[in-house]
Amino acid sequence: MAEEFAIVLIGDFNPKIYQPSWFANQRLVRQSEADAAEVELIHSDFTSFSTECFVLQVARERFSMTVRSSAFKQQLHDLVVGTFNLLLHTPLTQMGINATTRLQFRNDTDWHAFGHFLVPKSQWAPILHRPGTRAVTVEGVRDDKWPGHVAVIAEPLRGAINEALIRVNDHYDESGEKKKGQDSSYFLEVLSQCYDASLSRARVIVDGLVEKYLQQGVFDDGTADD
Amino acid sequence: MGWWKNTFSKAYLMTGPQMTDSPVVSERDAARKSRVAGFNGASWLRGNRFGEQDEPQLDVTALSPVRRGASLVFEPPKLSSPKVENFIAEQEFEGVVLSVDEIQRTFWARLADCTAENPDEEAEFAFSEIPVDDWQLITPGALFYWNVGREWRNRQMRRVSDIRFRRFFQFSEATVTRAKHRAETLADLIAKANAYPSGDTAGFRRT
Repeated sequence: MAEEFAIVLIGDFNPKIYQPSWFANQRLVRQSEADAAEVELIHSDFTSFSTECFVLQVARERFSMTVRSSAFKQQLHDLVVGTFNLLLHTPLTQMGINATTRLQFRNDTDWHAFGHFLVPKSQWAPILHRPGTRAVTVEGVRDDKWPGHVAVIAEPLRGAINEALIRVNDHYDESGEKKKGQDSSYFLEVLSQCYDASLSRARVIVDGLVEKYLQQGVFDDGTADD
Repeated sequence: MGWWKNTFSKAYLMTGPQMTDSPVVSERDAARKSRVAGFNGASWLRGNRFGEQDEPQLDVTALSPVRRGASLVFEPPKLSSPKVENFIAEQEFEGVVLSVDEIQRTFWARLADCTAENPDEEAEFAFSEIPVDDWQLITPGALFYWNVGREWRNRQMRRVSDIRFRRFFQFSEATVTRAKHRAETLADLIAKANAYPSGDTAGFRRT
């Protein structure tokens, strides 16, 4: 299992600000790390660059920072909190704490079985020729005090053999008490309080799903009546 | 089949009528259809018009948001990978600098094991183990993470010991409030203990 973590913010951004040199000047990343960053594009509408351990993409309405290992998840948190403490007047309206787990199956049969586990095929077999699971999204309500929802998305990994992704999107909406899109303070507080809990929740969800899959012996591939 | 064979592109999936084709698509067909409908790479900004919106967009903060409804959708270029493609930590410690010896260029730190419930340990580190850019951060009280594990760069695995100082650290208001409350409780307990000596001490005084 490999993991990826990302914080996605929806709001009103100025993409041109988010450059490696800005992060280094603000001492959010090492100067050497900023110097070695691979810049894909820096434009007033879109910025994209990657450093040793994170990838940043900022569009006018969307900010996304991604790391590829649990070893860097605390750095991800510090970077986002540090960035928006400096840019405190950035209006934010939504936030997602995302954890992606990549599952590798022993063989094709196990991989298909996982698809059948997520979406049993007996309902589909009579109406669709050779039904296959493309992606499954299941959404649940939050069990804490914050407005938002938790969505779990399972899909096969594009371009890889016998691999699948499970994405957990812990989505936070603005509180009704707060004026909409005022600044970033509300989501910084949510991030400070909920980041570890969000990642733990994602771990529990993925572990629970995999455990249930491993416990199940027979899978509904839609051929039972044949 | 449990999953659809994954040989066709996202662009192909968005084309609609072909969705009803057999799920088994030859790579040649997929490549052809992808070329027809896909992103040609010449433009970074690209708009795709979807059908009429009938429900709000719900998954906007997911890493790969599912777009719903009518709007010009901005499709960013494919995410490039950070240089460290993957890092599997075998041992993770959270450390706090206790003291710094500028002459010997070493520092002592207390380490909390994040991977197991082991007691805290203290260890001495040489400055040479830390990237030069982080030397200015080595002061008493500074926090850092020490990860020992395997990392993949350019599809090559190597064993590494990675020490990263936390460059931005801030307690949340709730954490500060909890700490203050706990400190006040402890202070009250100590004050009460001082005001009412234990039985042994009282007995000693009586004699």
